[in-house]
Amino acid sequence: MGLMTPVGATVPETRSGIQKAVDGFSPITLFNASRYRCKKGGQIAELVAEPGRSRASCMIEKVVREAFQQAGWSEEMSAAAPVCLGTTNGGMFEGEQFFRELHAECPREDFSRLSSGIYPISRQLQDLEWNLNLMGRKIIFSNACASGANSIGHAFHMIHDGVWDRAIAGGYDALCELSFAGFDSLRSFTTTQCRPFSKNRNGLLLGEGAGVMCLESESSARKRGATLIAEVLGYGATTDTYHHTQHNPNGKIAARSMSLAMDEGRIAASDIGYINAHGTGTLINDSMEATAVEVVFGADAASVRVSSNKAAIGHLLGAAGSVEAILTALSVSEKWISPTLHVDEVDPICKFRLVQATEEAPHLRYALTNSFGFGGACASLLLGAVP
Amino acid sequence: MSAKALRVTGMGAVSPCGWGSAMLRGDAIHGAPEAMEIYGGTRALVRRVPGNDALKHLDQGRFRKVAGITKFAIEAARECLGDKALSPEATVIVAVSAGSITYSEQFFAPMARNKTELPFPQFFPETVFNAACSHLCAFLGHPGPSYALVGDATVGFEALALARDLILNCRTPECLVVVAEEISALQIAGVSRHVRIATADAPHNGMVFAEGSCALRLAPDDPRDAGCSRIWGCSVEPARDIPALGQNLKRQLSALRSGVSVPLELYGGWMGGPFDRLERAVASHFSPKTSTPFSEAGEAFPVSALWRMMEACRSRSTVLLTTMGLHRRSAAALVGVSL
Repeated sequence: MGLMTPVGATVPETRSGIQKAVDGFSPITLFNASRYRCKKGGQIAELVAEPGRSRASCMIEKVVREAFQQAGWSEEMSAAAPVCLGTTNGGMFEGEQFFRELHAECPREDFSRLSSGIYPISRQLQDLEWNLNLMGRKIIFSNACASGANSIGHAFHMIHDGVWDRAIAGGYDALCELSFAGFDSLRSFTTTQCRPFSKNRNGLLLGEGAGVMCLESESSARKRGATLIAEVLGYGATTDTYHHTQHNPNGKIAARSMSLAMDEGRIAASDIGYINAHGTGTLINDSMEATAVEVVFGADAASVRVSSNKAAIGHLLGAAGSVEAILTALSVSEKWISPTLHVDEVDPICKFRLVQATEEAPHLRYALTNSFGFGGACASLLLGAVP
Repeated sequence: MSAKALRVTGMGAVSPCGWGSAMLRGDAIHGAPEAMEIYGGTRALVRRVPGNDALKHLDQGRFRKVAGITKFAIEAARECLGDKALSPEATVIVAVSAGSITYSEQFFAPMARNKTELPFPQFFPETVFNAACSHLCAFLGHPGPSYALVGDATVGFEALALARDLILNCRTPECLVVVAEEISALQIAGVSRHVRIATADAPHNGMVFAEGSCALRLAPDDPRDAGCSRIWGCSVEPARDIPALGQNLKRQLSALRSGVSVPLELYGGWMGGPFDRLERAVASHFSPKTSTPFSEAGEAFPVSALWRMMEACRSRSTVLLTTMGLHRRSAAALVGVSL
């Protein structure tokens, strides 16, 4: 696995940051945020684009390298592996430079040729091909905030069905002004702190990051003596058509994605010990998700522990599903549950137990991670500890 | 060639020729392309989808303010499905290259112009890449899985390959694959930095941009449906360099042609891009009869590739299809009623 988040540039650093309840937000310096209501985000200070490349491209390459190193994949194994990645922005930050150059009084042709060449999403794939020799098939899911989970889910299905032996799956998104301005204009941002599932929650914060898993069939991994971290056991994907930017408050479609993941893994609701929630910190999304959990778990909801990482690292959009899936994999593997920061008073709509400080979970075997995005894209992954 | 095929059980299209697949014919493209001013005073030549006053069903609720790309996607899907509703377990796949870039352009323009102006919030949700996919699912009332894919001109073939994975492994009973593009000044300005484009001053200098959509409904093969067109194989491959791009395409076409005894036609995508010569040279090894249907309609990238596939299905011939992506991707497919 490989990770880069506002609380750490690697898996160990992110794990440490999450466990120590580090708040990864700082004033935005990447662009001038003075005109917006919100002026902070989960910006990764260490992430600086190399010449001729986008920030997003540099980020995903670094994370894939970490994942290969941890998985112990040879160059030969990685070269042919299919790649499924989720993103919503791609190289939009550089796309914005191109747009500004077009509006400049004296646009520089050499500048705009460079910026127009590096922002398309398929260019980030090409950078992976050039720099890491990843020559397998590539699929880019751009399903808003569910993109990263969709990528892992599809790769899981293809490996499960014997189509692929292994795959690189995850998501990435670098901050850009367009999406920042977008959420600000919709008044989705908090101007204080992101407090998922709190009674007084008032919005989300954006972050940037990437998360990648090296997925492999159990037989292939065992054959080469690999250390298994966790298992993907199920995946559910549904579409909520209630509203373009809001899910149906009844939570039924979101609940169905959780049920599909559990059904595929043949795991009962009573066996789920933890849910890594989408938990954006907005009034409507968190209420819907809390309702969906109640729909699925009924009376068992009270015994399920739930937390959201977004209060620490922000909403990573196309990377959210994959980064949170990796943190969930660490939870089931290492038996701990990450905290939801900044909760003042838990919203009574939450029938589950909201985890507010890092907890040990010695008996945790199965966990769900949810991604419920714009456009009604819902995805849930079921992860389990290696038996 | 693997004997596992997908049946094409429905088709729909929107193009510069009009709204509906029947409008898209080689002899239906009349007149010169129109000039569209992009940045810096350049007047690019484009082929746009004509206006349509009959879209009353899209003049309500959430569809009222959708981008043109969404209307193209919905109308192609509507024609493709006809009166046979999509199964709730079906998978909807919408592939785009530039996506709703017209709205990104409108949303971001105030920020590009000055340091204090604020953007108009209603545009933002439409800028997200899955906007067309989301609206299409809402229009269809589809609660099942849906995926928005992004890529270069080969992304439509990637969508077909994804549908193939899902159907052949019984992950879904059927797929609706829709590819859509809408012309924007920003997209043309970007592409023009890397590809020669036709302009009002130099009309024969390069690529004429186009827009529209294409939808294919795909189902598992069924021998009882003997007369149906089928997709027998489809692949997209990346290449490190240009020689490898040609070698990949050769390998892809060889794999598709293997064991096929009937004469093959080949529909290629040489539309003024940087790999045209290479694609044509490879194509000529595989069929004496090569062409680019609807080349006069302009280049709509992944959409043009699927228009050609639709034409292959309509022709009832056995056809190899190729297309190249700007980011060094080669795509190939084989379509026919039987092999």
